[in-house]
Amino acid sequence: MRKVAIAFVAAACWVMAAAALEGASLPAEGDRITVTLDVLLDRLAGADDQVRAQARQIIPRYGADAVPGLVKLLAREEAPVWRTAFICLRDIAHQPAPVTMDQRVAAPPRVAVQRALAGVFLENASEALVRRALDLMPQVWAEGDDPAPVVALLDRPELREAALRALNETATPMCLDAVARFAEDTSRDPVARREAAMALIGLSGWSEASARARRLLADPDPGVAAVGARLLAESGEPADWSALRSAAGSLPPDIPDSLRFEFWDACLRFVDRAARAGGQWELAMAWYRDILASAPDTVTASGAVMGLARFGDETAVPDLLAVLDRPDAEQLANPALSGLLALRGRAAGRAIVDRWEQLPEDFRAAIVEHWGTSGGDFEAEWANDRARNADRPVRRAAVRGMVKGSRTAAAECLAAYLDAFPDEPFDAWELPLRRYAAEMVWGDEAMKRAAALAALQLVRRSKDEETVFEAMRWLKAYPVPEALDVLKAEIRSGGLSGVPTDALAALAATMIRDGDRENGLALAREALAGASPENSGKILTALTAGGIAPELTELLGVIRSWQVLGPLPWQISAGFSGAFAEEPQIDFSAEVDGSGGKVTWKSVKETGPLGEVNLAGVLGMVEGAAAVAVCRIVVPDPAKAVLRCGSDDGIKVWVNGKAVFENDCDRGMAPDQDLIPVELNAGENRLTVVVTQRAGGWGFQARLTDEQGGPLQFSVVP
Amino acid sequence: MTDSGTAGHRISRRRFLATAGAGLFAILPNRGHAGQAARRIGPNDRVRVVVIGNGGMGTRHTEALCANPQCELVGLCDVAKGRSMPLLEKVKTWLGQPVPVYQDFREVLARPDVDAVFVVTPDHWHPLLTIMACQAGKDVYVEKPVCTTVEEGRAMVEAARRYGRVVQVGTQQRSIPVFQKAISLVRGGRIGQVTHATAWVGVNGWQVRQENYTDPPKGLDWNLWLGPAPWAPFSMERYMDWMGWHDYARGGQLTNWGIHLVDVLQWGIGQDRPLSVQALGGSYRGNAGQDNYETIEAVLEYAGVTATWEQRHSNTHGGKGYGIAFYGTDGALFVDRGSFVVETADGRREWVGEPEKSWAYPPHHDNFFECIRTRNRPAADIEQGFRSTSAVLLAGIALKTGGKLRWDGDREQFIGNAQADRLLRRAYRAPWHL
Repeated sequence: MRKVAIAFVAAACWVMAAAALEGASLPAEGDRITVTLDVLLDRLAGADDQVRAQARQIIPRYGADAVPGLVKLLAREEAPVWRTAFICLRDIAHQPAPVTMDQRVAAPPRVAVQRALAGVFLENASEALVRRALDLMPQVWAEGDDPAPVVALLDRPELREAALRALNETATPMCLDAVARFAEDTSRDPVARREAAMALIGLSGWSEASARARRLLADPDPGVAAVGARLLAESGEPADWSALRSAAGSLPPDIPDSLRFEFWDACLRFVDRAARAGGQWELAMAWYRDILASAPDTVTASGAVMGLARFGDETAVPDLLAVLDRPDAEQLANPALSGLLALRGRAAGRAIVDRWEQLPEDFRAAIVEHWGTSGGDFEAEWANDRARNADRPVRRAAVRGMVKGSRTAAAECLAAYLDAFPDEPFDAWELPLRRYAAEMVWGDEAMKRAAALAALQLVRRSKDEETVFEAMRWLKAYPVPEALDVLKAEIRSGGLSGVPTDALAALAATMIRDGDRENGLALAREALAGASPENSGKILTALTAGGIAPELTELLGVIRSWQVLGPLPWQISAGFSGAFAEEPQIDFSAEVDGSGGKVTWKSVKETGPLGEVNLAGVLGMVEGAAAVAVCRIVVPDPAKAVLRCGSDDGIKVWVNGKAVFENDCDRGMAPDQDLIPVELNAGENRLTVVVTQRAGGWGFQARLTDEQGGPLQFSVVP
Repeated sequence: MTDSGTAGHRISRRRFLATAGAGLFAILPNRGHAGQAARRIGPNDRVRVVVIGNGGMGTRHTEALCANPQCELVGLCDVAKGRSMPLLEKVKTWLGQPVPVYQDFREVLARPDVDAVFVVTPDHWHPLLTIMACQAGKDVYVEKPVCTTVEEGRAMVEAARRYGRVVQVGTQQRSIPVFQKAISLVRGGRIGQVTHATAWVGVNGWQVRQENYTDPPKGLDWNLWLGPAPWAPFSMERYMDWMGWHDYARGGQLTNWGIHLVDVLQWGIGQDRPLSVQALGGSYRGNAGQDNYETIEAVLEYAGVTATWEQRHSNTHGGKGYGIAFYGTDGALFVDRGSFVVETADGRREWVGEPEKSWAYPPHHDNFFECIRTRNRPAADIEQGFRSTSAVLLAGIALKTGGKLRWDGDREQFIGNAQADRLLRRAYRAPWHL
């Protein structure tokens, strides 16, 4: 009875489990479908391309779990199906290994793909599936994975190409050794051996490479031996040179020229490798000379010429020039010139210049162009010299090189060249000059100036509206005196907006100094008009840098005539309260108690460029004192103006007895430190200034402008 | 992935080997010539050129070259007589006389009187043709993208330097005034310090399609067309739409337009070695199994600048379906082949350039010919073209590997990712090798 009960319960459990499984399978059409991996694989294999595209994105997320299903689909005949399966497998092979929270790293999904593909190679799979698996192999096989199943495929002619490709692209030492062994096996078909040998070309660095190459070089089959030469060329080791060189030099006379070329080309590649690796420079140069003397064709000889130049120094110059005297000079002239261009270093440049007259003219032109573009200091200097002094073709080439090379002197050289040869078409210079200006604007003052000179050429000579527009922008950013005619034209057309005011001011100062007062002043007005307080100081500095401020007095509104009284007693703690709370009494005939005795009014007419009054010079060096300065301003009409002052130290200002400003401070003097709006009556106005002295320098300056900072019509009563 | 020799296709490799001729399997048939360097071009000489690859792009180049007084067209070459012969008829009109036509480029390289070649073939042939032409002593104009792997590109640069050849890349935007002007503004600080740049284009429309295998058309040397790429039986879908196939074009629009636009991007920011790259993408409407994705978003990190590549449906910025944008601290600049637009606090200005007449741009040719004479590096030197190509190739690798890849631009390998490093090279089908 008990056994029956147990059986009944077991059966019931089975029925319930079956029912549960039944419930977990795909519901009927119309119900919600649970997307499982199997569903996705079905969708990938289905007829709907778009559904397949969606499945393709999701399947790789299943990682190793998806591999078996995908490998089955890889065997399908329909191209869309197997191709998509292929890409999914590749995606999985590239996924990183999952990391669990206890820091254990599981095997990367790649391992699952590799095992599945190894199975494909070992089973009696269809040729199509094997090919596809071979295509996947390079993305799947790691260094320790045995390539033996794939190596075995080399014996199947219909799969050899694909197998060689797979082994070549996987390129682990095991793969390459296997291919090399196949190539060395003289019992095999020679064509197959050559194919295998060729599959090793370009692969080096595996431990057996050099030894394998030597064995192949000694192969009785000349095609295989040629591949051996090519492989040995990858070593660049001195110990390998003699074998390689000997093989090239001892080829039978009836060997095809194309094959002979392969051996000599291998020698060339070998020396290139050795030269680049360093540490055997003299050997490499000697080998190049050997090849140059012995090569049976001019291409290999060209390579030797190039090698001497690329890796050599000034000692190669005679070799490069000597090829021009060879019977095959016509074919070696190009590499000789290319070689001269490739040489680096001052000594090499000097060696070429020493032989300058021996060079054909086209060589000279090419060399100066190259040196102008990318030569060192010596070469650039020579190019600069040729750009000014040579015959036209060489001169032109030198200038062109300098423009290309963004040399600071290039713009001047080009201007001189174009002046010397007015028939030179400008078109070919336009775009290089634009590029030149664009690079030079980032540089130091000299380079910016060069950019401006280049821009000036473009403005003057280009017929392209856009080019002229951009060039004017550059010119406005850095106006140069040479551009006066252009800037004058811009002044007349009102086109100077946007130009930095300090740049304009500097140019204005230059123009006035050079005698063009009218236009210089016009430019200065432009610079001052609307200048912000921050900029006005810069402008004033720029305008006075050349010492021409007296000529700008009227423009700047500098006040140069004062009556000054002091030093008067003053204490720092008092500030402008106390004695200077009200405007001091002005009586030019009075004698007043000053600091250290009686003081009287003094007339001051000698001021600095911006009207600076040196109170310490006029009144004496004191500390803890103050001075009063008065002037009388006459304006024809009532005016709102701005009094722009600088002072050391504090300053208080009255206009017609009314206090309009005070700044009790401790500072050095600079122009336009305080901008004070004032209202002037028509006729005479009294301007009174008190300047305090704490210690050190003592002085003030003042100028009067309209509200925009431009000139104000006024005079000062002497 | 490849699709070589799917079971059931009896148009087999063996048959091609038999019909291709014993010459292909001479001992090392890579080189069909003895090396003879080209002559020195005098100031009054015309450069003698042959155009290899006579399809649409080759036709454009040929037409421009026929009109260029600096050169003399002395031959055409294509593995398909169906391309070279119709072009020959046009050449007769342009030049008033025929030129020799070749099917095997090695015969061209063996001619000592040829000074330079234009390589206008499908992408997978660009590297080897360029290298072999250098080894034959010729100067080379090679179309973009210059290579399908970073290893190939470096080998091309090495060949140019080793044999002293001038190699110009077909990134003709370097010679187009609208780009030169725009870049002069960017480099000149017009928009301040550039902190971001983006290049954008529409979706990649080249797709891998279901193949119908047939015999190749008469006059097409299919084995030579495949060249170093893996063996595959002929289909018109593969031959005509090779841009969709990863074996011949590593990226579709990513490498077709990507190199043009990323070249300008790198030119503007003054850098050509990204520090890192990340990419996402796919073909979301179908064709999930193709490697040249329809939609891609890639991010390249440079020192001080982030750059993005956008490739997607209905992709416009400011009404422009492709272009490059630079974003700086003081404004932005947008440029394409027709115009550039500058937006700063001063306002917006647009400058329109000359309409583009042809993808084969004569001033870019002229620059090539001039450098043949002077032996100076051309405007789009192979090193530069390689750097621009490798940037988009890296994006393609990032698409395959996922995650952020850090790049060592000096050693030209990824940092700490040997698996990704394997994608920097590809095996060549014997007898071809780099």
